[in-house]
Amino acid sequence: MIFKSLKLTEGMATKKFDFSSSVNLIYSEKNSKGKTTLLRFLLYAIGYAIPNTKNIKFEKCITECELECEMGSIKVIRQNDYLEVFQASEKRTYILPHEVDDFHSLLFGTHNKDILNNLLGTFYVDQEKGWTLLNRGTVIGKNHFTIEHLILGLSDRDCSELTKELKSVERELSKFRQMFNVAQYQAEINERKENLVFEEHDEAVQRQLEILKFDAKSISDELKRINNVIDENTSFKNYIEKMKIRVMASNGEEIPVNKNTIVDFQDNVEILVAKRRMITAELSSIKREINKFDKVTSLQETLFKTETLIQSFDKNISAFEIDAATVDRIVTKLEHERTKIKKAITAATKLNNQIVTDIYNTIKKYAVELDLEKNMNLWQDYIFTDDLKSLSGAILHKIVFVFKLAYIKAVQDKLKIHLPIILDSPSGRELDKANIDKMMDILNRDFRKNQIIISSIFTYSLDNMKVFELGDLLIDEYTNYR
Amino acid sequence: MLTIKDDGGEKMSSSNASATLFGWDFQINAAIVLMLDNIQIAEQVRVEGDTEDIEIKLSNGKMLYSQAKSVEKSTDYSHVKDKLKKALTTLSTASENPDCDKLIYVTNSPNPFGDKKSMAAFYGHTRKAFKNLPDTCRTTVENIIDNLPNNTLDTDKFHVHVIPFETDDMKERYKVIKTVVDDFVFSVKPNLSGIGQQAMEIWQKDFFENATLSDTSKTIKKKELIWPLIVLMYDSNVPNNPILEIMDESDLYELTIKYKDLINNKVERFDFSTKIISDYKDYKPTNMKTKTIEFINLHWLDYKDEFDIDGVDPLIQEKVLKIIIDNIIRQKYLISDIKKKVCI
Repeated sequence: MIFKSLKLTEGMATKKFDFSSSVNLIYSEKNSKGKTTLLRFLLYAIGYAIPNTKNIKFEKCITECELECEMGSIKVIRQNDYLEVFQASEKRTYILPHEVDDFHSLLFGTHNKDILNNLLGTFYVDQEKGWTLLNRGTVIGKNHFTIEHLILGLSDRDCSELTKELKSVERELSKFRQMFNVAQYQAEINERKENLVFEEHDEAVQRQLEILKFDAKSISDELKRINNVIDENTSFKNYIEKMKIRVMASNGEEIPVNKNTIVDFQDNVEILVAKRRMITAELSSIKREINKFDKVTSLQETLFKTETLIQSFDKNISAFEIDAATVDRIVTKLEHERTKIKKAITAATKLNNQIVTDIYNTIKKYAVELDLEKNMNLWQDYIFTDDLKSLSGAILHKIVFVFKLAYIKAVQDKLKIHLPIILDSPSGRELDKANIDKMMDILNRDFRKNQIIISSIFTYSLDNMKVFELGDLLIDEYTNYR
Repeated sequence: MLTIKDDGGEKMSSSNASATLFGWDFQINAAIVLMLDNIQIAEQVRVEGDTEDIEIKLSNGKMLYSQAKSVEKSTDYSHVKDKLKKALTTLSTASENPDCDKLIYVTNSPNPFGDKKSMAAFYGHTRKAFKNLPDTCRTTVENIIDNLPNNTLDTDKFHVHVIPFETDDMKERYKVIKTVVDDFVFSVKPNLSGIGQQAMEIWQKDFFENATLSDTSKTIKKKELIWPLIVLMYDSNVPNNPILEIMDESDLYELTIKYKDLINNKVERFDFSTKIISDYKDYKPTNMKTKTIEFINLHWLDYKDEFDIDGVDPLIQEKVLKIIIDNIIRQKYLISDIKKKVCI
């Protein structure tokens, strides 16, 4: 897949970037000029859920991206949750995030969810978390990567039942661990045999305050819900208006389709605005009440010693009926169960799996080239390692790079496609120039058919490199980068 | 910033603040009553306007100007004539405006002319045009305006409106206002009850806020008054809801509570509700009286694809979907009905 161009529009301001199909460097002398944002825009443009950066809210921008992919040449326009894909005269529309997999299936040529869900972690390395993400963790936002799942996907093996079971066991385990902590604390209180009869606050005030806070919470939730619906309806309206449809009335008059002419739309807006006003007023009034009660309780609190809160907590804890021994037994049992399921998943992943061997071989090859043998136990299971603590920043940086290249090769062999390689700030803080050059040599030599997009405050010696130097604003008015 | 003024427009000492606040309260509630009295033709209202205490713009571009004067104790008639004089002086100026349609003196005194003999004419909540005033009252008005430096008040446009409004017991104070609101709600939706109090409180808050804005061009539009009422009507229990023909009341109640957010989201999402309304409009029932139920029973499955609650019994899903469709249609009818009745 190759990003041919990306056009960004925010209100009246637009900017277009025409990318080279080989190497692209997004460069600025200083940080905070929008390099990371631009890379994230590329991912956002092809449907990924990407968190906003400090200065730009993605959902307020329209992206228009031309791509060369398995489907041929396509144009993808994204506006908030709507994604339109144009190919020749055909147009498809996807509602995000629900239909993102459908679009990615076409884009990457696979329906395998394990591959699709882990693909971003193979070809994109985020500035913040990417260079420490080796085989499991967060790629960016809510996009995660798990090596086991990628390998299962690449080898067409299915572990969805085991994965579901694992999640359920982990949820239970977390609850029982909390319960066990409470039980231990309870035992400690009982051992101290402290007097648990305390002076009490004005319980009526406390109760009233709790009720008010509960009400405030549910009203806030309702307000949030209504705001979301308003946003969604506005997006829908914008989407319709953007199409500039005109319809013909029976008298021949042409009527543009917009918020004023869509039947019932204004009513929908008015009723939601009224609801929001009413709820906001209700919330303000409850908050005023809460403030009043807060003042009363804080006055009361100053009359009691600070231990009172701890005592009250202890009193409540000691009132729980928890059998620590039973909870402990359940925790142990659940831990065993979790280990068993994990082993089953790993076994299903590893067992006689050529993909594991291929990934391992690629890692080994590049590890040798980047002088990493002594830092890695170069045996096959190392690709599943979770021991990253012993590695220094620079070493981990290089190992991550090597792993990513191995993932990319494995994905490409399976899907018969070329992925873009998007690296945000590959130089890192602790990496010297010699190492960077070696990394770039590998890209130059073995990934010539991949489009490479790098953002950095440094320049690199890569063949056919197109440089985009960013100024002060990522999106100026009517600016094109060609 | 809120400027406290006495009835004559002069600054008051803080000791009189409670009397002033009482005056404000009356003015705000009087504005609600006047707005509802004129709801068909009113377009917007401003409390504490440029020239008068209450200014209502009508849909024909004309204006209704009102002076609101209150007394804290309804048995105290010592200042009522002064108040009347001050009100007529100001209204006389307003009368010069070419857009003036009506001039209303609104008060809570049962003896607005300081004349015990004419009191019987102002018993309870009364509205009187100049020509219907007792002779003595008409003479009082004429004498006052004759002595004004600019005698421009057109008595044909002059009305007196007495709204009982007294005591510190809020329930008692707002009794007449509440009745006016209840009557209005009944007039637009006869089969609904119990929302008058909420509507009154919302409007009191809105009118108070409006009165405190120093920018007098900030008005309350009729639609801003009516849409909260539509929300309250939609949320209140619906007697004889057609869906009860196909669903137990207990089921309806329980599912409406349990799936409240989901139901509201679907009803409020325009892309979903517009589909239902459009299909509903196109639907030709065998019997117009049972159109809604026929439509729900025959067409609920059409929307099933857009609606899937994970792990929930299909029968429950069906019921929730039917409730959503019913609510969308009910809301549509309600909005059309109210808009038509109040001309928005």
